[in-house]
Formats: sequence, C-alpha cells, structure tokens
Amino acid sequence: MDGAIVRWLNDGVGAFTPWDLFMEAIVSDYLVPVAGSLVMVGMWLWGQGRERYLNQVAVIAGNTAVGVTNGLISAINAAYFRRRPFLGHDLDISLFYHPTDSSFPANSAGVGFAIATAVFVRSRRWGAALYALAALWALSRVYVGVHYPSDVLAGAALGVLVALAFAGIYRLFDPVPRVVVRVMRRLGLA
Amino acid sequence: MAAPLIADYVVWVFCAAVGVVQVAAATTGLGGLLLARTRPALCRWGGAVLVITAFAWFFATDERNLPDTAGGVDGVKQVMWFAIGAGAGVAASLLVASALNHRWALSQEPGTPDEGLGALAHDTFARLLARNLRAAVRQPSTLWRGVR
Repeated sequence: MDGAIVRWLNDGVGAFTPWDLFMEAIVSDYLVPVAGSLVMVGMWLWGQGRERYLNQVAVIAGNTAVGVTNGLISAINAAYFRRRPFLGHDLDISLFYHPTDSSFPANSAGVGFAIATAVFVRSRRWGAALYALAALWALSRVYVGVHYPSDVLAGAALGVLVALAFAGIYRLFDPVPRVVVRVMRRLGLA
Repeated sequence: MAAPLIADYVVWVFCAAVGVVQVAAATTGLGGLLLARTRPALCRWGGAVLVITAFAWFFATDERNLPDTAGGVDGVKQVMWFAIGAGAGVAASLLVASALNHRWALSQEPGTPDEGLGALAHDTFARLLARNLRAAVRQPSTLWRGVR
C-alpha cells in the first residue's frame, strides 16, 4: 500500500515542468523550516502587552518542541532502519538528492508539523498556513520518492504530539518561560 | 560548494528577517523599530516585498537540493546559521532604526525597563538598552528584580 502510493505519486514527476519546479522548491531542506522560523520571529514582536507575552512563550515552547522532535526522530532513525522508497521501487528521483539515512519517521514532517502546531496554539491563521506548508512539504517528500506515506504520517504525528505536550508543559511550568521573557524584557528584547 | 550555499543561506535569512521585523513593527506600532518611521505602510509593504524577494532569489539562483556530503547544510548547522542570519538581521534593524529615529526619540517619553519591546512605540532600542544597562550596572538586581 505504502509503495503503491509512492509509485502513483511519483508517476507525476516529469509530466508538468512548472509543477516539478514548484515541488523542487517545496521539497528542499530549507524553505519550510526558514518560513516557519521567520513566522516565529514575527510572533516574538507581534501584539501588545499580554498578547505579545503569550506569543513569546509560544515561540519558546515551539523551539523546544522542534529540538525535542528532531532528537526523538534521530533516535528512532538510529534504532530502526528503513530503506528509502527509491531503493526498493523503480522511481524517478531526479528532483531531489539520494538520502542514505533511515526513512522512518520523516524528520521533515516532524519538524514542519511541530513548528505549525506551536504557531497554531497562538495564531490560528498563521498556524493553518504553516500546517498547509508542512503538509505540502511532507507530500513533496513522497512525490519525489524519498519517503513512504507512513514515514511522513509518523513524523507529523510525533511533531504535533511533542509541540502540544510542550505547549501544555509550559502552561504547567509557567514560571520558566515567564522568567526568561521578563529578563529579556529588561534588556528591551522581549 | 558548501561555503557559497551557507553564505547565500545567511544572506537570505538576514534579508527576510529584516523584512519580517519591518512588517511586524509597522503593524504593531513599534515606531522606534521602523526604518521609515513616518511611513509605516511603506515599511509594511516594503518588508513584505523584501521577504518574498529574498525567498525567490535564494531558490531561483542556484541548485539548493544538495546532500550534506556535497555542500548541503544539515539540520543542526541550519539552526546555527539561521540564528546567525536572523540575529544579525534583527540586530541590524535595531541599530539602524535607532540611528535613524534618534532625534524623534529625544522628543518622546523615555521607555522603562518593564515595558520591554513595547517601549519602542515611543523610544529607540539603543536608548532603551543604554538606560537599562546603566541601571543594571548601578544595581545588577534590576535585571531580575520584580520578575515574577
């Protein structure tokens, strides 16, 4: 089933050049992480008074969640190796390089969905935009043949769960981010 | 191969961060952070154009899908270079806006440490930082005193 979906999606590579160029940019290691991180830079400045403070706490929680998601996925990748789809199927892998590490779970989906969830907790509009971008990033990884759908689903689920957990943990241990933000406020940085 | 991609990455993030700061500052009324304080709409739209142009430039000028072993930047290094690029963009915005808005800030109510970024609605970052640091040198506990 996993392999059949990859083959079906990957059949589209080369059929329509503008779409391939778009997917080539989306699938990149840089576009979605930088877009999400820039939204967080904006969130740090956004709002007035308590609204800005809550945004800043969400940014701290989001960054922590991204780091933890990344660490968890690296640990799972090291413990369980799954071959990339292009190694077991006849796929067109001309839009992306050939990764050699484990396919499961997808780090890109984990990081993308962790950032989107962290932002969504504070801003539904920007969060929804980042969810769409993260979903497109995950889809593009399957489209170009470097991940199975189950890889990106597992990565996305992990990213969402970790981000929600950290949003909750920071609410539970509110004094920690509060002190960080308020000390930075004394320096005119928060 | 690695150096040019990292250099391009930092330039991209730097320019986009400057744009994001201008959009956010113009929208939330932080006049002390604007590069054209009397024209907030220009800052907002100019910032948005800068962000879009930076993205388009990065992806249109070269092959960016490279493995870590052939000039690509892995996740950990990407975090570091993003922090450097975005930090430099924010710092440049704070410093240049402080210089450009210095005269205006002299005629405004000075910001207080408790206001944080909110003080930039009527002050510049350089003046605010100098005031806060002077207070901290005189009495270091002011940095955390009252922080609950």
